[in-house]
Amino acid sequence: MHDLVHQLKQLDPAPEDSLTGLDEAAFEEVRRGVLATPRPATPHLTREGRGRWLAVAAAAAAVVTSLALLWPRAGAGPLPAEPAASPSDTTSASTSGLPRDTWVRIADAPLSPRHASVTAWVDGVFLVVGGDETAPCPATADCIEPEHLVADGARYDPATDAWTPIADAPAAVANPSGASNPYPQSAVLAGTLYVLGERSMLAYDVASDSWRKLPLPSNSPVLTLVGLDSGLAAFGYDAPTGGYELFDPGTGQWTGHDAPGLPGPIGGATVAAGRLVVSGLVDGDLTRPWTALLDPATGATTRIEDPGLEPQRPAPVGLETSAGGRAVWARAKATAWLLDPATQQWTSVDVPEHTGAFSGRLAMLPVSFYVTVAGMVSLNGHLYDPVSGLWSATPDLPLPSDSPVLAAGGDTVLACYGYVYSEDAAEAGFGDDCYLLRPGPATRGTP
Amino acid sequence: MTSPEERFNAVFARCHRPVLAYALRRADDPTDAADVVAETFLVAWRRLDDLPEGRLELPWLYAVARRVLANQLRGQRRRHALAERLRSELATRQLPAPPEPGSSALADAFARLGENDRELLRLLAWEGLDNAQLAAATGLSPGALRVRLHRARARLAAAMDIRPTVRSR
Repeated sequence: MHDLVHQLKQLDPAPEDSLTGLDEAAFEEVRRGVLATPRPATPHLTREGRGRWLAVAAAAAAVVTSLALLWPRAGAGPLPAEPAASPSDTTSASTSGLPRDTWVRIADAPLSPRHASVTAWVDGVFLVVGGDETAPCPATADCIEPEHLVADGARYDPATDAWTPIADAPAAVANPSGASNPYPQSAVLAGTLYVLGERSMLAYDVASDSWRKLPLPSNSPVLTLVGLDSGLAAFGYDAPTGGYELFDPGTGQWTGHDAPGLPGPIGGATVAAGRLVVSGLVDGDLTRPWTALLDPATGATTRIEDPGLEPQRPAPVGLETSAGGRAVWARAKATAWLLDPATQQWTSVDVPEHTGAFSGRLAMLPVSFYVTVAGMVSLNGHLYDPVSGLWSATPDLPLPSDSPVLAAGGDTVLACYGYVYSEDAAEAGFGDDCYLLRPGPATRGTP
Repeated sequence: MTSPEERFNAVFARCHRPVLAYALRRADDPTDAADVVAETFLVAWRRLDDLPEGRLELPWLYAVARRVLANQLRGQRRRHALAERLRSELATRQLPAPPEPGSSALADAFARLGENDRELLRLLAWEGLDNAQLAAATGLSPGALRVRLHRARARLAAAMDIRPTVRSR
């Protein structure tokens, strides 16, 4: 019987004897040079900083716990008084008992703490799938290659405050940038969550609790995956200008399409008011954003005049409000623009200078998390209601704000885990808990 | 008590040649291996407190070197002045070429594997790591490692159209 590994050793391009005769002085130069460099402290939280965080978290937890007692589960107990609903209120009966603007600790999830999970809101339940069980690796650190991605998942029903494990995905999946990623790699269509994997697209059907493997689009790697009424649209990183692919769930196949007349590659896409909105930068002039509506059914392309979008961030997110859908350029730093695809009218709002509740860190880097819930969209971490032009008073995340698992759906936001960096191994690690927030109506002026 | 300098010197003395060999086996240009060695030991010096002792010391350094090589492939190549002499030394040496597809059936089969499979088999065959060291070098759990290793061997055998010999280490 062959031992291929033994044979493979014969192919070693640098066997021990090949290094004989190397001048030790060359290594000595390396050793001395290394020792001459300082040993900087790792950018972990100090014990003092961690202590301060714990004090704040403990105080927040006390408030949350006491308020959680007021959440009437299964219809029992009195409801806390609520302010009048905003015009964009989308409260469902299932969560109407939740106190507003309060993070409520929910049942323990049947998952190990993690980050970078794929999350979705499908048919009234949250899905949390996959992710990474190891510490998020700071961009500037010298981490050993992390590869603890997982394939398990669970669904959470906010109506019953119950988690249920779901079938494992056929392969590990992750959303490395979590909720700070405006370029979705997953989409929901007709009760099915589609996730772009490494080798295939994975589809999870909530009703049958089962996964299928499907082909990836040919323009992989995909920049953005968008769910349409009748299929999925995938926009590739390296696709030619105007090129994109559509997935037909009936045939399970992707087909290539071309959007004529676009002035540059598609840099971001979303669906709002049932219309596919795409945006990007002009070929050869990266200071000039453009926006257009695509109609995959007819192939028609409609250019929309640029109102002055910030060119660094041409990725819109979709938002449904009581007054119709909006595409929101939510990554803006100074002025966020909102497009009503039905009327092709733009509106704008100044982005608050200070970060709000949906801000945090991603492996130590400050980020904003993109949340759309109850007709509101997060801008620099604050929830904004474009119908009233007001802002919601959202309390801070009740868990470590580095790399939390976040999902928004219906009128609630789910938040789990989060990671704490510490030089003390006993203090470093993931949070264990999950919380649910039902944002109150927007009643405030600019935060 | 051992000072950081003393510990680093001991680690360097034990590991500088294996780390160079690791880099030479994977770098496109042998002179790049000099910078991989320099960068890897710079990381080890900065993170000396994290560096495990004993049998997991070298796998830890391999894991760092792998990351440095990955950065090089992404175009983030650094030239270290402290590696100048080693770079010159490597530039003038005749080293065996990495296995090229077409040179043998095994080289062909090996080239057809995915990078994760190739790296596992390289660490096993060329660096001679055992399972615990492989787990440390790759960050895999022991269970996941066993599965990956089995699959990598099986895929290599399949690529050569023969049945694998699965040998527990």
